[in-house]
This record gives sequence, C-alpha cells and structure tokens, in this order.
Amino acid sequence: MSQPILLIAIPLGLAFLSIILKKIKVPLLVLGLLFSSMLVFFIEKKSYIIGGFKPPFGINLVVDDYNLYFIIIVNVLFLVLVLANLSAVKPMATVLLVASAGLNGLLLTGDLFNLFVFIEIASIAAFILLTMDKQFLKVFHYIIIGTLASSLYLLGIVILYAQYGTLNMADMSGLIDGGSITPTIAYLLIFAGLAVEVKLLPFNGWVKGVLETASAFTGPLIGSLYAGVMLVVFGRVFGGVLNLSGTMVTSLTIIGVITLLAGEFMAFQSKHLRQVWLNSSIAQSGLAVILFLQGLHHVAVLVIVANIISKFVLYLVSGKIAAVIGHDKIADLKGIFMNKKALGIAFTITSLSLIGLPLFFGFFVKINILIALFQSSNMWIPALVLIAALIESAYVIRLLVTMWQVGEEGEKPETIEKPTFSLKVGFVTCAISIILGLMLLVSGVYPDLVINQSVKAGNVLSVNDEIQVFTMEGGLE
Amino acid sequence: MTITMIVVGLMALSLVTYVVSKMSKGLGSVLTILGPLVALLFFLLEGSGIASGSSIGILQFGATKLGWFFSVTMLIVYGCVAFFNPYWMKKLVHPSAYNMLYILSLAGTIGMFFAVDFIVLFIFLEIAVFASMFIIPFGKSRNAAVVYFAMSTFGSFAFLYAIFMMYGKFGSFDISFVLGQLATEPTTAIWVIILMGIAAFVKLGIFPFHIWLPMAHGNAPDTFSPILSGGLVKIGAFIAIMVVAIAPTYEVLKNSYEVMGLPILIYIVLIIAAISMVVGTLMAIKQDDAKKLIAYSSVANAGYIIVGIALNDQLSLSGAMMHIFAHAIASAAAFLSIGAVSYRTGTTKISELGGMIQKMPITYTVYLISIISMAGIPPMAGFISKWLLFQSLASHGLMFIGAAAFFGSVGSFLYVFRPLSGLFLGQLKPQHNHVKEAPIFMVVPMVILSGISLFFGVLPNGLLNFIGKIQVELGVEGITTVDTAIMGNNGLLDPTLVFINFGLGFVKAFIIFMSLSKSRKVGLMDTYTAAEFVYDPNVYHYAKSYYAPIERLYEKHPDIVALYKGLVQRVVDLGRLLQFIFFKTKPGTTALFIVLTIILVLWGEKIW
Amino acid sequence: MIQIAGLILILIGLYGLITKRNIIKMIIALNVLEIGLNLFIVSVGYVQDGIAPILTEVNNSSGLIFVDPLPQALVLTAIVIGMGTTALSLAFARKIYATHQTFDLNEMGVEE
Repeated sequence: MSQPILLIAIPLGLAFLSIILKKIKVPLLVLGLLFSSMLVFFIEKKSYIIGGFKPPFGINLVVDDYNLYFIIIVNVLFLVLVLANLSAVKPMATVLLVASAGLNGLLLTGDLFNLFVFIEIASIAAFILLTMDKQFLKVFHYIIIGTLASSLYLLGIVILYAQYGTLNMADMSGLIDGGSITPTIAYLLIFAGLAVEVKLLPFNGWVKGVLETASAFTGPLIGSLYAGVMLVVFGRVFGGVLNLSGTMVTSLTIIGVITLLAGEFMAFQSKHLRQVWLNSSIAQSGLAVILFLQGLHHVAVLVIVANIISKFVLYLVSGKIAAVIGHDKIADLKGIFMNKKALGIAFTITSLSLIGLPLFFGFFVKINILIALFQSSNMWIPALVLIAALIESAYVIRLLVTMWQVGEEGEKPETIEKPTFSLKVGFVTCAISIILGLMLLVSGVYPDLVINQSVKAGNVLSVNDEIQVFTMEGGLE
Repeated sequence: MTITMIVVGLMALSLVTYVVSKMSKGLGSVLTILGPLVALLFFLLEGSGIASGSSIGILQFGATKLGWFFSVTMLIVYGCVAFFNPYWMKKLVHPSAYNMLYILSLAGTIGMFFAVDFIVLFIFLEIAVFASMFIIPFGKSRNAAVVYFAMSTFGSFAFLYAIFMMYGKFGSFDISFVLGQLATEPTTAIWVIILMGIAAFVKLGIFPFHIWLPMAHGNAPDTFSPILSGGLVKIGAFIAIMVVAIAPTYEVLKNSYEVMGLPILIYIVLIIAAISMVVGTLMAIKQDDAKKLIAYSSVANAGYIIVGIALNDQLSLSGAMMHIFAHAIASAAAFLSIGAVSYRTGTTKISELGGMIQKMPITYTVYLISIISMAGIPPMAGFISKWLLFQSLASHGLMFIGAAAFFGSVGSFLYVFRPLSGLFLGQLKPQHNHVKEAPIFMVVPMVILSGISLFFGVLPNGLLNFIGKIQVELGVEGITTVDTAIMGNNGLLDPTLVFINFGLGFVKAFIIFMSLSKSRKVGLMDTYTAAEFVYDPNVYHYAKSYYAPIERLYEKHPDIVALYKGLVQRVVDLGRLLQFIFFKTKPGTTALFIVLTIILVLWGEKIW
Repeated sequence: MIQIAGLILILIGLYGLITKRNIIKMIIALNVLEIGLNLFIVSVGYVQDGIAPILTEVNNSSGLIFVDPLPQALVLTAIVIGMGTTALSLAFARKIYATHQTFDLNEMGVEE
C-alpha cells in the first residue's frame, strides 16, 4: 500500500482512463489527487527498487527526510489547488493527472536520467496547462527554452555517464567524491538545464510572459508548485550529487546573487500584481540557489518551503483578483480588501511572511539564513541578502498599503467614501488562503517543527553536525 | 506581575482588542486606554526592581533600570494619548485594526526595552515598527507609511547585520555578554558601533535619515502622531544608549585619532547631531502644517539627545535621559493639543486656523506649556535637560556643537511661536465660530501631560536621582543633587528656586494687570484693517509670510528628499533596464543568453 | 568521430535557435539539436569491435565485448520525448499562425 511508485503510477493510469471515460474526468482527477494526498502520509523513508534491478543498475525511487515533506506539501497543495478551481479544470483533467505524476516523479526519483524524463513529462504538462491562458506565443517561448534546457541537462548527464558509468544519484555521488577529475562542462550544462526551470537570471526569459498573465489556477501551479519542486530537484542534484568546488562555486553563486538582486529590482519597478510576484519568485529562487551552492542546505529547504506556501496564496489571490477586476494594475486596486477583509488578512499575513517580519514564519527563515551564512563566515552575501530584503519590504508594503487604503496622497480617508464594489471571490479560495496564512502565523510563533525537519532534510544532502539553528524553543541548537 | 506577563499580556490584549472592537468600537478603544494604564500601574507599583519573570522559549526578559525608565515614559505617553482613541473611532477607516495595532506597538516597545537577547530585542523592535507602520496610512498619506517602513527597515537591517557580526565572532546573542566581549575585537567593534549607530539614527530621525519624521508624523492619524513623536522615536535613543553606554565604545575607540579630546567617530556623531539640530530647526520654522512643524522639531531635539548620549559623561547622559523624558511628554502634549484642534476643526494647517484661544483656552494652555518645555525655558522639564546638556558641552569646550545647540534653542522659539500665534492667537475664522473646547476626556490627558512637564521642571530631583541610578547601572558616574538643587560642573541649579522667582514675578505682573483698567473688546477686523476694506482676508492672517525674512535666507536650500527620490528612481530604472534586457519576447535571445553565460562561466575553467 | 559530428549538430541547432526568427525554423533547429544530442549519446556507449548486447545461443560467452546498452535505451526514450515536444510545439505554431497570420516573430510585433 505504501509504495511511492503509486504516486506516479496511479495518476498516470487515471490519466489514460480519463481519456476513455470522458464523462467522469473531473471525479477521476479529484479521486486520483485525493488518493495521492492520502498516500503520502503512509510512505516509509527508504529506497524503493523499480523493476527488479538493484540500483545502480535499475531505477530506484528514494524517499528520505529531504523529499518526504515536499511530497506531502506538493500533493496536498495540488489537490487544494484543483478544488479551488474546480470549474476551470474540466478540459485539463487528463493533463493535470500527468502533471501530478510528473511532479511526484521529480521529487521521488533517484536516477539522473529518470529525472530528465520527469522534467519532460512535467514540462509538457505545464505547456499544455498554460494554454488555458491563451498566450500561445509566450508559452511557445517556454517550450523552446524548456526543451533546450532539458537537452542541455541530458547532454550534461551523458557526459557524466561517460565519465563514471552510472546514472544513479547515490552511486554517482560516491564516485564523484572519490574521483579526481571534475567534468566542469557537464556540471555547467546540468546547471544551465536546471537554471532555466528554477528561473535563474539570465536563463529565465520565459518566466515573465508565462506568469504575468497566469490565472488563479496556472499561477499557483507554475509559480509555486513547479518552482518549488524544481528548486528541490536543483538541491538534490547540486547539493547531494554533484560536488562543486573552487571557482565554479563562486561563479555560480554570483549568478545566484545577480538573480536575487535583479529579481528584487525588477519587482520594485513592477506595476502589476502578478509581475511583482513573478519577479519576487525569481529573487527567492536565486536565494535558494545561493544557499544550496554554499552548502547551507537546511536553510535553502526553509526558503523553499516558505516560498511554496506564500507564493501559492499570493498567486491564487492575485489571479482571482485579476479575474474579478479584469486587470491587476496595482494603482487601480486601491482599497480592494476593504470589503473582503478575510481574504485581505490572509494575503497580508502571507506577504508579511514573505518579507520576514516577526510573528510570521518568514522571520525565522531570514534569521536562520543569516545565522548559517555568518557561520560559514560569509560577509558579503548576507549584506546583499539584506539589501534584497530591504527592497522587497519596500514594494510589498507599498502594495499592501495601496490594497488596504483608499484615497489620494494628502486626502484624509474619513472624507472619502468607501468603495462599494465587493470582490467576488469564492468561499473555497478564501478558506484556503486563510488556512495557509494561519499556518504561516502558527509556524511563525512556533517554528520548531519545521526548522528541525529542515535540518534533517539538509543533513540528507550533506551531513553537517555543526549546524546551528534558531528556534522558538531553546534558542540556538 | 512580571515583565514577561506584562509583555505577553499586552500581546494577547491586542488580539482581544481586535475581537472586542469588531463587536463594539467604543469598548475596544476603552481597552486601548486600560491596557497601557494598567501596565503603567504595575510598573509603578513594583518599581524598577520589577521581577523579570520566567522565560517562555526564547522570550526572556531582564529587568533593568534603563528599561524601566523607558517603559514608564512610553506607558505615560501611550496611556494619555489613548484617551483620544474613542473620539477617532468614527474617523478611522479600519478602527478595529487601529486598536489592535495600537496595543501591539506598545507591546513591541516594552518587550524591546527589557530584552536580554539581541534576537528578542530585534523581534520586538520589528513588531513595534510594523504595527505603527500600518497605522500611518489611516491618516493622510499612503506614501508616508512606505517611506517610514523602508527607512526603518534600513535601520533594522543595519542593526541585524551588526547583531550577526557579533554572533559570527562570539557565537552568542546575549546582549550583555556580546557587548562585553566587543573590546577584544576592535575591528568588528567599530563596524558594529557604526551599524548600530545608523540604526539609532534612523529610528530617532537624525539627519540625513530624518525625512520620514515629517512625512509619518505629519500625516499619521492625529491620535497616533503623539505616539510616534513622543514614543516610538525614543527607540532610537534606547539603541543609542546601548551602543555608547552599554557597549564599551570609548574603550574600543581609545586608540583612535582624537579631535577636541574626543575620538574622531564620536566627534563625527556630534557633528551629525549638530546638523540635525540646525536642519530640524530651520525646516520647522518654515512649516505651515503644525504637525509637520512639531515633527521637524523632533528632529532637532533628537540632535540634543544624541549629543548627550554620545558624550556619555555624568552630566550629558543624565541630560540626554532627562531630555528623552521631557521631550516625549512635551511633544506628545503638543501633538495632542493640535489633534484636539483638528478634532474640532478638521485641519492642522496654520493658515486655515486662527484665534483658537477664544474657543479652546485649555488646549491653548497645554500647547503653551509643552512648547515652553520643548524650547527649554524654565520652569519646565525641558529646561533642566538643556541646562545639563549645555553644562556638559561647555565643560568639554565643544564650541561648534554648543553653537549649534544654541542655534537650535533660539530657533525653537521661532518655530514654536508660529503655531502659537497663527493657530491659537490672531483672528478667529468665521467658520470656526461654533467650535467648542475639546471634550473633557481629551482635556484630562493633555492637562496631565502638562502637569508632568511642569512638575519635573520644578521638582526634577526625584527623577534625576533615578537617572543617576541608571547611570551607575550603565557604569557612568551618577548625577548628584543636593536638596532641590542639581550639581553642575560650574555651579548648581535650583529649579524650585527658579520657579518660585518666576511665580512671584508672574503674580506681581498678574496683580498689576488686574489692578489696571480692563481692556475693551473690539471686533477683530477693527484692529487689523483700521476701517479699510479687506480685499483678501488671507493677507491679514498671522501665518501669512510669518517668518518671510528668515525663510528668505535659506529658501533655495538643497532638499535631501530629492536625494532619496533619485535613489529610488535609480532602483526603478535599473529594474526596468534588467527587465528590458532579460525578458525579450523572442526565445532566440534567451537561448543566446544561456549560451553566453555558459561560455562566460567556462572562461578560464578546466573544461575536463 | 561520430561524437564530434553529434556535437557539431548540437552547435548547428543552437545557432539556428539563436538566429532564426521563424517559428517553424526554430522547431527544426531544436530537432537538429536533439538529433545531434541523440547521436552523441549513442556514441558514448560505443565500444570498439563490440557486438550488440543481446543474449543469444551463439554469443553466450563472457569473453566477448558488448557495446554499452544503456545509452541506446536512453536515446530511445529521448527520441520519444523529442517527438512529443515537437508535436506539441507544432500545434502551438499552428495556433500562433491562426492568431498572427505569420510564422515570423519579427512580423508579429511587440506584445505587451
């Protein structure tokens, strides 16, 4: 019952079934996702052999501390997302099942080539899902770049295969640590391939076109779930398998830093809600990549978790707002939350967590990032991270103030009439946003569980006994 | 009651207030009065030896006299200002959120003053900042909140970086331990001092970080401006005391180059403080909005506080602390009186008001007392603190700083009289004929604050003795008092005697005034126009060209706001440029970037 | 030798992707790149004088040299995936043509 292969096989099987049984597509989808979200709670942490060949000869799926919690988060959020957009998913039910299989595969697989296959499955599903937004040219951009990226990735792993004669992650990791040659070009090709998916600058030309018009459905899916899963994969490959050293780390870190700063700069000048979030996701990806490259896996995991949850809510709400209002130009969204306070509070909590204010989960992420960076005696990166966070705080607060308040500059609000329109957003969306917001609030007051889990996750990639984390209970550990 | 209980209780109360306010706005606002007052009661009953209480997780507090002093000051301000809240419930856009954030910002400040650990301090600091930040847009400006938060976050992050620099060296967040170790690492120590100093400057509104004060204080809801000016900026003073007095700054800097017998860094700080006094004064003089005017005067007063703290000796530190207290009380009272006028008339612009003394005499008296204290005239508390500061400046022989301080004092006469004559005196506008005195519950807290200003101006020794104890706690020689007199370096000051003399003079003048024949009341227009026809009544307003000759001297001054605007514009431009470069619609461009990046990173690497 | 040919094809594909503005030509360039990649992968598994790695009655001795079978399996998968992507991108090309009446990105104007 607790075979993780079912997380891939069941959605794939149901996908085929849903082509035949067109009438009950949506029930099949919900059933499949419900099954996956239940199953994830019963998986044991070990390596699962597929097809009878023992690794490194056969393909294996790995469940460990690193991916287990992401599997849970992604599956549950996927189900939640489908439930929130039940009316919109009908034409895409089959593709969504494929996407679910692809994402689970990406998280679970322990084989580099298998990873390539799942990247392709997941991206093809994403391409088709993005047609919902009717931006064919922009998705075409994504297709070309995405395919190019996976080709580069494939080239990279083939070079590694030629070098080491294996494609199994664990096996490869051992061989690389023992080997004397560093196939730099292979590392770089793999980096380029994954960088396109994790949206690093300058590999991310597709992001803006795809995400700035994303609906309340595709936004959270691509901007939160896909982005999070791809970062997890990046961490798995670059944190756990490939052993970078020397100038490579420096130059790739510089790419990460440029991404972080440029993302925040671009977000600061953005005038549209979804454009802000997409640029902010770029920046957060840059941050996670920096942390992975610096070997600070546990905080990178924290960044990813925080980013998945907060971006999920932000894209969801922004997409709904854009659907109701017809646009998402921030200047025209004055006082939009005044008649929809619950949604507004959820949105506010999430964005405050994003900028790392105390009482919210993001604060502990920020503090632990700084602790980890200073422990590895970095001086410049934390300064740059703080500058990025400063810019981020400014635009997020500007946005929140606009969305809560009416009135031009210099006008007293009491003299202005409250807006009478109501933001017609479904109950499900509100409930989801509030629940996720409350989770960020609760883990902001008691973050110990999440942080301890992330330490365990980080230790899967590379064991580090000297990790110090800051939690609510007992302070430093 | 322990500190932990009070802080956690206030945090819980903020949530309760929100729920209660949702049911009844009035009841919620009454809670905002009770919260600070009850907390104040506990602090006063337990005294400065209040138990710190057991820790909850990382939330650990330690009772210090310094924290107690700051908390009590803060609670007096919060408690008195809260009386205004019920009257503003109808005016605010989000009254429940206002009540919640009001208490939350209080909890943040109190928690911060007693933190034993830097992270806890930072948590509460940020809570106080973001709670207050969300209240500001309830007023007149949305941008003000963003500017306030951005500036404040800049300061907080400088502080955070300093905390982590120390953590990187000493592996701990414990305030007393880490600051005690600082002397062993001089290079780190200097950076820490500079960064924490920047944080203090930003929170206190010292030049060139002062631009948020007029924006935030001037545009916040009238009930919150007194909190910002009287309360929250004093967080900066707390940080400054921490940097100079708790951290071994003078010991770290003892080998550095000296100017006038002071380490160069300290002297630079003094110069910056002096610039603040001058800039704050000059800018305050030309303001038409009474709230912006007091906000700029806070900039000038922050300069005095920094001078006192930076010199860190017996007289200056006690002067600084006295000034923190006196200015908190006086500026809160001044803002409240302006708020009361605004409550009745709906404006704070001097040019739109006039003759309010006839309708609101008590408010006028409160304003008068508070500006006397702010300008440093006996017999108010502000005089004592300025006297101490001048004593210290004189004994150090710091003539340029002293000159700036004198300039600030003289200038303060100029700017405090502008609202006095334009807003309260002068001719009553016809549309304000039906204005009444502020409601009784608005008058009471204002009178209490004025009473405090007067009381500690006449009998400051109780407070000064306590400040002396704080100084001993901080390792500085405590201020000494004899009976009712304060010991200075070159003589002593007996405020009680001064008051008695003042009082006798006042009584004499009053008797003469009463014994002479009564003045005849005439219509206001008679005196002004001398029977001529008034074409433009505005020309005859007191505020019209009030200080035109002085303003003309510096009307073409460079504007620091332009610098910040330029900086923001650069960020925007850079963002646009990056977006233009990297987000082309053509996939080929992205492919080119990918190839180029790979080549660039491979440059000089061993490919195999 | 064949490896170099594969790499050259990859570079040609990249060149086409970067320089061409026509959607169909870009898809073709992508395909050239993929073919080059597949060639490269197969060449990695090639062993001099090796025989097909199939278990038969005739060649049932452990002394024989086999070519590496894994790259061939990889290539099969890669070809299938490449075909899927090509089909999908062609479908997109058709949709784009329907809206813009052209395949040339330069002629579509700026979409903002």
